[in-house]
Amino acid sequence: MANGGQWSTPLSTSGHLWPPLATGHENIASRDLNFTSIAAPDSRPLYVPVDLKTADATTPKPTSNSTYITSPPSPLAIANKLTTAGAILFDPKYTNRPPPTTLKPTHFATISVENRTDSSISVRNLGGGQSVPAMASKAINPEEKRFEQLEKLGEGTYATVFKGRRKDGVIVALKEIHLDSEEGTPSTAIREISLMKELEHDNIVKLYDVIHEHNKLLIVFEYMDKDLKKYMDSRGDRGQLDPVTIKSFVYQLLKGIAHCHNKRVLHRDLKPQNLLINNKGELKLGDFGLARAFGIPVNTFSNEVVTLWYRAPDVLLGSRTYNTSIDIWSAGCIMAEMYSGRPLFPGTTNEDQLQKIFRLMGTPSERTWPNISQFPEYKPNFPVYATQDLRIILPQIDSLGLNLLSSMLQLRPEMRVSAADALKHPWFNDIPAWLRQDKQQPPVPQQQVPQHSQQQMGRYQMPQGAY
Amino acid sequence: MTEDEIFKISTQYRLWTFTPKALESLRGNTNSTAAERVRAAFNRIHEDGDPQSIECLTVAEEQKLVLHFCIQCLESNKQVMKLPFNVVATAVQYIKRFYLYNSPMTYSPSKIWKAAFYLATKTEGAHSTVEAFAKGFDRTVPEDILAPEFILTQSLRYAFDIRHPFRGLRGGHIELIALATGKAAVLPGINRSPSDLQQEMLQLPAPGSQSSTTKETAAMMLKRIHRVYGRADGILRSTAILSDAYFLYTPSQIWLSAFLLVDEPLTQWYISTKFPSDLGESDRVAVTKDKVLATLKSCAALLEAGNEILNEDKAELSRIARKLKACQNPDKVDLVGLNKAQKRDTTVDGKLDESVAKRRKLEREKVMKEGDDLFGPGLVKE
Repeated sequence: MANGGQWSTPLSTSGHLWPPLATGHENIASRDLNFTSIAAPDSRPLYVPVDLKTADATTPKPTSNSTYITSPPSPLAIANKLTTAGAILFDPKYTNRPPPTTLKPTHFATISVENRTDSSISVRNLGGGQSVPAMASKAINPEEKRFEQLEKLGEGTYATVFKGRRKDGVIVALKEIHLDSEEGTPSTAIREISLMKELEHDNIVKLYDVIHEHNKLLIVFEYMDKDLKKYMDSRGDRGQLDPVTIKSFVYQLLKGIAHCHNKRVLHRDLKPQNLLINNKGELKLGDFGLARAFGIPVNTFSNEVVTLWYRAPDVLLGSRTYNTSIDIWSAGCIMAEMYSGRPLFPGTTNEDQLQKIFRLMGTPSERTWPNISQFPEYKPNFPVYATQDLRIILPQIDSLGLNLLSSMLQLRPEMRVSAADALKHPWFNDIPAWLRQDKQQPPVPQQQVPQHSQQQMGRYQMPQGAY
Repeated sequence: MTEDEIFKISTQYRLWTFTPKALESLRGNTNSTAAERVRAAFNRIHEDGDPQSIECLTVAEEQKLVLHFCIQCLESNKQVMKLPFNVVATAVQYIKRFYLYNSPMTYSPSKIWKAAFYLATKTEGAHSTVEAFAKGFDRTVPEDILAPEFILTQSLRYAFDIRHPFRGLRGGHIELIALATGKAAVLPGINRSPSDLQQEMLQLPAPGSQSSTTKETAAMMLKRIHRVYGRADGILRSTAILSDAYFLYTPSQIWLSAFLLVDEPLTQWYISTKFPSDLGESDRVAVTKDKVLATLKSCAALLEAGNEILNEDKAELSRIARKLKACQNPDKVDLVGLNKAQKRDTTVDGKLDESVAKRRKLEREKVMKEGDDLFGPGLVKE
């Protein structure tokens, strides 16, 4: 698999059909070298190129070739002539394991397309009168469903993400999730798939497909070039971004958040690492592993969510009945970070995080925040700070932008602006038209925000440490 | 975005809502495809057998069987698992959805329902380890629950989000209380004040009677609302989730129909507060209102008919069970075995120990490192 071969997606549903008949069969036509894993006696996978001829040659009875030509009842019959490396290599002299079981072809071609789930099933004509008609709405070309695995993009808590190239050339992100855990498919993966299936929006990373394959689950996402953190490190001036880019990103971020909230979903873990950017200048929300639908009992929410730096003060104070406003706080922190290039509140512990927030926003009291003392984490001896002007730390921001930012960074959750209202803020009056459109109208890269790229170029030509 | 638009982009609408006709033909197709497959499988095993000799389940028999396991799922939650109702309601929908595209002849519902239940604990945020979950059932090991998960998630098209009518019902309850106490927020175009509405409400005839004879007090009306809520909730928790209501109607249509079934005058009036009062006959809005009421009535009829299906005929069920035993697709009986084969665990002693995951990961990385070697790494001495 690793040596530049394809991902063995077509095997996915034929797992009990071993060796994968489908792959061998198809290879008569395609001349690729195809790698097929064959269970060795010690169950270590070996990777052996298999096509129909080689498979035939390895059978104990090479006469099968003529049998094949005379009258196969169906191409499935060929499966009887295939053998496994295990069967050939097995020798009781060297092992006390039981001999490998005999493999029978399993009839699976009756999957008719209507009954098909949009998953891994590789639809192909296996003959025997079982033709598989093309799907009316979405033609499934088996070749398109295979992936070439490219470099590893990252390793998350429960998954590894790879870059992949689909046969049709489209670059995708492949999130590989292993299923051996104690719970089958991890509930985080189930939850992420569940939410992403409901959230289709230009500013949310697209879920293309889910593929079950052997002991892993592959979630196929739209590929994005960078996350915001890396983008700021690479494009920005000491991490700072230019005002035009910031406005565009904040607008897109709020649009993504508004869509989630509309669909009753809290993201709960917004941070620059979870905001993905492509080279068209589009920003999309990703990583919904921690997100949850917020319809029902809000008070059972765990308070161990949201990376500390972007965590809202009500959550830090121990609130378990938080709502959509926690995502707005995170968005405010991210907006400020785009201006300054540094996290706004880089706290180290829960308490330190609260103090950093209070130092800037002022320490709240019962007068400014009724019932604040009821919060589990409230301490009467919080150091008392006066409210600072945000302009002092963020001199780059214009006054309209500052107005929006301070409406997002309200200590009291009920005072924070909603995503839908924030989008109507006058700061966004001069937002380019392509961003305003709700429908899928991918901007043409050349024409989108020309001054944006010029500015970036300008910044790049400036030698480091010029001032 | 209106609530309607939001529902229309949900997977429940896009993938799992049907017209009655489409639903019927889908079930017919699934049944006949499965029967063909069963006959083909039997023919392959006994090559001299007579293909006609296998009697397959009918669509009606399949439905009775599936319903039985849905009821069993509800019962098991009531007696043993005691999880929030949302979990089991979702589980029942998973079972029902699964058997739209799969026949009990292919996958026995006795094996699928526990997997569906466990999957629902994951999607509804009430999940535990599979060991703990399996303890809630007799003669069930974790593998029995995990083995069908693959097939199940695929058949569900990875659309796990189920929209239930329970929250809407609670919202309606709260709104009716506000109306009865004269504190309701009135929609524009209604031309009546909250207290006007309260007075109107108190004049409503009792369910079943035509004219308003006595004027109720606000306290009496509140009592009536609580009673209606309780009974409607009961309908949602039994017939609504067990019938085809979720496939045919939206969550709000379902809860309003349950309300309509319990107290028609109150529900009719409640709906009228959502439309402008001065409507002409041919008005577009008036047409919409009639359409809404007609839809609610047909859904209410479905829910009412649902009461019958709750009375299971034990003798009939065991007859179907016997019949199923004879026509169960032999290829799909051993789901645990199939699942293991899929995970390449066939030769090992079956049980996955804790280190397996880690070992596989190391193996994978090793294979990747040695990727240049076409035939993989050399054999290692044990």
